[in-house]
Amino acid sequence: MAGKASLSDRIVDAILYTILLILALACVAPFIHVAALSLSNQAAVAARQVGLWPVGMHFQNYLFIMADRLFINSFGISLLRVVVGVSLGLLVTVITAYPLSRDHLYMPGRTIFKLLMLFGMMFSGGLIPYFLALRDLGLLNTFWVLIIPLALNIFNVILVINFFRGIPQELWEAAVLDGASHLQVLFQVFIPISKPVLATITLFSSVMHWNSWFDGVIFLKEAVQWPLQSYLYSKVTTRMLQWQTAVSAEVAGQTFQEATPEGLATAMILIATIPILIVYPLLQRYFVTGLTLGSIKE
Amino acid sequence: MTELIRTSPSVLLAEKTARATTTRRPPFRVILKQHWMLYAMLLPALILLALFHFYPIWGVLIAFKDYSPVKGILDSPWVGLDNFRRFFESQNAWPIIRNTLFIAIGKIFFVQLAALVFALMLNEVRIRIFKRAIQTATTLPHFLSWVIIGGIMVQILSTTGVVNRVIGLLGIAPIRFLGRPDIFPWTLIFSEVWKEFGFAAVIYLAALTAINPELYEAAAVDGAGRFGRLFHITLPGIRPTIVLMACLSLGSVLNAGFEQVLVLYNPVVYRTGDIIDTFVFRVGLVGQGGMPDYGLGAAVGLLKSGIGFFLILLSYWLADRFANYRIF
Amino acid sequence: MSKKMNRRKFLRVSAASAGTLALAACAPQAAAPTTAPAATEPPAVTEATAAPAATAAPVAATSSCQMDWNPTFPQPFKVYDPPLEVAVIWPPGMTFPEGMSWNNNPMYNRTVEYTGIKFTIHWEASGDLLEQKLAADLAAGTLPDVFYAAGLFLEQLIDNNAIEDIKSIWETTASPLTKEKKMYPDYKWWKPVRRGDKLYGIPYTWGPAYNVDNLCFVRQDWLDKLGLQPPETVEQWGEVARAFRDAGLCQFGINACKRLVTWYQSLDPIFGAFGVMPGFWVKAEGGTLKYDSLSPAVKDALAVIRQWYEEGLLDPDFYTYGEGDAAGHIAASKVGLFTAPWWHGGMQVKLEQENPGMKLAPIPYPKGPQGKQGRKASSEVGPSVVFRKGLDPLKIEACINNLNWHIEMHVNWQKYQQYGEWRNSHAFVEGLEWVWGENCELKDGPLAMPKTYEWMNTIDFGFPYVVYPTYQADPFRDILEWSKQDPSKLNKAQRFLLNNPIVLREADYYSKVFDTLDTQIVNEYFGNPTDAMKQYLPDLSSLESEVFTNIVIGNEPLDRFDSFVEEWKAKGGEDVTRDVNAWYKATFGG
Repeated sequence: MAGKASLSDRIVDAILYTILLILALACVAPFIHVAALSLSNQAAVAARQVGLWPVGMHFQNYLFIMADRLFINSFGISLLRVVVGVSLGLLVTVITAYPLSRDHLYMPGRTIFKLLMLFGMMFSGGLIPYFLALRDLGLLNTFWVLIIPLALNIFNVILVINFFRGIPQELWEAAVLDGASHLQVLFQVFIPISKPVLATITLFSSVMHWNSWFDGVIFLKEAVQWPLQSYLYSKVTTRMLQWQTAVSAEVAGQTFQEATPEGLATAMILIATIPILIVYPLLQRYFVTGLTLGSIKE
Repeated sequence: MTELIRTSPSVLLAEKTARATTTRRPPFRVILKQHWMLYAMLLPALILLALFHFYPIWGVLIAFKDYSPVKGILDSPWVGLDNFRRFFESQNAWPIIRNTLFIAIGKIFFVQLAALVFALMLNEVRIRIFKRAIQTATTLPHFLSWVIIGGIMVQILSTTGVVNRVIGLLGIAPIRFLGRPDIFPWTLIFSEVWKEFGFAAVIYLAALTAINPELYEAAAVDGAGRFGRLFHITLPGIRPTIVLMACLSLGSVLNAGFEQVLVLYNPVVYRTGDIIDTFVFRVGLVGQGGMPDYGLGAAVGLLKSGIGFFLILLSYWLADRFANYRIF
Repeated sequence: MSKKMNRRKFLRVSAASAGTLALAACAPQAAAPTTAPAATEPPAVTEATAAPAATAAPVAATSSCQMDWNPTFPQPFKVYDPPLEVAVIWPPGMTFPEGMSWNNNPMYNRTVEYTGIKFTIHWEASGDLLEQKLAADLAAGTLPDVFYAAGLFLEQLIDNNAIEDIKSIWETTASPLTKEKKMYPDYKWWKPVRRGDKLYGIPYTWGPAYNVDNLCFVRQDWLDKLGLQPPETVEQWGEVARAFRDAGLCQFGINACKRLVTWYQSLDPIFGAFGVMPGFWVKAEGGTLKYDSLSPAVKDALAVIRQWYEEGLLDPDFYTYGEGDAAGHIAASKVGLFTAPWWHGGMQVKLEQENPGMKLAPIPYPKGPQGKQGRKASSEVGPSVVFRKGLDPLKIEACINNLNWHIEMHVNWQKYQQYGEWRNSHAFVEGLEWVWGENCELKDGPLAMPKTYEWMNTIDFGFPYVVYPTYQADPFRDILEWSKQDPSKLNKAQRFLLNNPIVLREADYYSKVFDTLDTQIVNEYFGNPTDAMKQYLPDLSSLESEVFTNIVIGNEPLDRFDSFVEEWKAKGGEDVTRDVNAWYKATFGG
């Protein structure tokens, strides 16, 4: 079938591929530019001489960030956070989505529950009451403050509800008639065929956990407890702040010898992005490969 | 063709969500026996909602108080709707609301549209390596924060920047993308599209995978062309996802992107670039000692949440009523 | 195996710091290798006897070099035994060399030793996060022992009795020197913390020209090339810039950024030359204040800048750049005239090293048509250090004694720190900040000064800022003095500092800032925002910058300025002016 594409088809293909290629380049170029900035010397950066290739290449920004035990420590905390946080999040999400997706079952209170969820998603009491709540629950200054409050993501639940609804009803009925409990149906029938949506929310949830920095800084006392993004954020902003408010000749004069605030910021972004670049292709095959529902149907 | 669609599982996805086609309940005995488990499954979410969303919700009181962190929320004096009044009586309140709506709706529309079109285009690609590479590449800008990308964007869009050099080749005089009040909102919208379309496409790509490949094969046998397949199989297949995303994004019609505006705007374009969040931010700056205007911030936040909540419910109702979709 | 290696490495570092410790403590103990591990334990703090003895140095190295200066520290005002713990806010992400930690390093140990205070981590944060954490702490009732506050926040803390009145402790504990140097009790920075008979904190005392007073600079190498004299008037600025550009030396000429009057790459000299400073409240006739953006002379200054923009002497996109972005134009040789504060001297040394031929020179603020000069003055009133309600009075006393000790060391540095206390009080630790080089002269150590700076900042929670108005000017003057002397008459530490071109350049620039205080235009308003300000100022400020910038780039005619003045007054400006004058009258009498 692939061999006998018509001429017009080929032209459409060519246009398609060209557009996609241009789009991809437009997205990658700034990223490469940022990478080049993080590797270039201060003068070249200031003079805007850096394009897609570093000028006066050096690794001081990276060395500055890496040469520090707190960095390694916080990297570990971030990894742990993603693993634990995403696992718990997935579990809560599918368990919550299942009953909400069984529309045909008579279940009083379900609509109210959905409204409550939506309300909870849209309204927030702000930082201070939240802080007090975490204190009352004994979560402040513990690792779990990064995990438990984020376990329920309503947006993800809605995505999964919609996916579950799309699973053929016959499948559900067959399982129930076979005597499977709801939990069994969920974990033995639904989960195995929900990989695209699970991959989607795994991606969203990983990115969310990996990139969160505010909760670490605000709810955890010392930098040794912080995940990577909190640590890097405060490190870079502290330096930027010192530089911008020009509090000291030492800062103004000396930081520029080694790492620059801008250089650090760009290096930080890249370091923080690399793990995502590793995880993304692993999840990607679920978006790229079409799901064969035929095998389920039998 | 039509028969094919009716029996295809992927289309059931759409149909089963519609109330009209909800059919055949299992025997009542089955429901009753297993009812308790459904409720039990909602318990973790209920507890999390109660603890982390509803327990701290009393903070919305700040919107009705002259809040001082020193006094605390409960002891700060009530001011009724004064915070709201201060917002609406500001000289710029209406221009700011108009700017916010324009920019936010423009972003929602064009980001989702670009993501959808991109996902559909990618769906046509059959070289798997190419597909993956393109997809990874377009996701990258999402991970660059506006704080970082802002400076680069300003350079790219300057009168001597890359964009102006490219359109200069076409004989067009340099355009002040960041220095013309009439153009600036579009600059915001399209730079957001560039940054987010790849990541936003993930949901559509996931939805596309759920379409049964047999349908395409059958359509090919029927002699349907590329566009026939697009309009008769692909689009109907992901229609629920499109409606869902459109509906959910209505919740953010008043979020025009604080960080982005902050790094890209300048005094020349205040008139069209100023949004609600930058306004609240600037009011906070007036307070020496870095204390934000909590009352105003909370009032505006509450307003934004309320309007978003209302719009989501409205769109839910509309979709349910007129298109027979149940969104969640 | 690897453990052993680490141990050896560790000993090397700790030996160095132990040497300092011994120095710092001036302990007359025999300097033996056995003292090395002491560095890992909290130092013995019970020895309050600080007998001056400089003979402890030999422990530091196997080197045969001798120190020819005699560093000591002031006698402690009081040492608390056991040390008092004071919980403070730390800047996040502090890093320490191996074998040291936040509560074991030369600076920390010195503080424990001489002031009997152990500063502990209440939490770590900086910037706007710090304010959010403080707000949360207030709600939860878990404030740090000592922190700083300004503006409305400070006012509310006082109003709600959330911080201690330190009046009696301050009166009895602060040394006469401290009170004198901090200009207690009448100078304006004491106003925010004084309420009747009560005193609620210790203000930062930045002095009249802190770090954001600008200087003007020119590309001297280009002037020489074209045989031009440094520009002295606004008109000559235009001529020089034009000459630079027309000779193809630079793209534009004069640097500017999106804020016309700011702390870096600012156009305040141009407004100053017309005797005005937009955004400032200045004295008017009849003992009142007026908003200077409305003065007719602003229009004249705008006309000049507008003309320059039209001629292409400013970057066509200047209004999109922040201060830092605009500064990049200097390195890129896009501009030949710009403004920057004194600390830019360090960067200029670097720029000249990296761009052969480049030579930057300071020039006086330009004169206007009527011979006026004017510089935007840094704010003198900043935050104040405050003590949470319920804090042990002994701890407040200890903190004030800590301040006494610092001020004594700064002011009378010749008695203690013969190496030349040109920067804030840093430890100047052998093996860290400096090591012995060739001919027994000092050279840079493995640990650059920013590290010490960070420690010091942390350990004394910003107390170095709380020193006194001339704490930067005085040491810089000393350095300039030395530079005129025969180097052989100086000690090695002084020569070490003079060898650093950055130090000299910055000293030169700072003294230039200090010598021209009479050109400053001061913002007379430093009160908290009033109700009218909260309601109108956000809109008025954005209106002002919008109108001014649009006039400059030609989107609006110059006469838009006149309607702006009317608009400003009509849109609440009158109310704001009334409030400001009420404040002025209440604060300074009338």
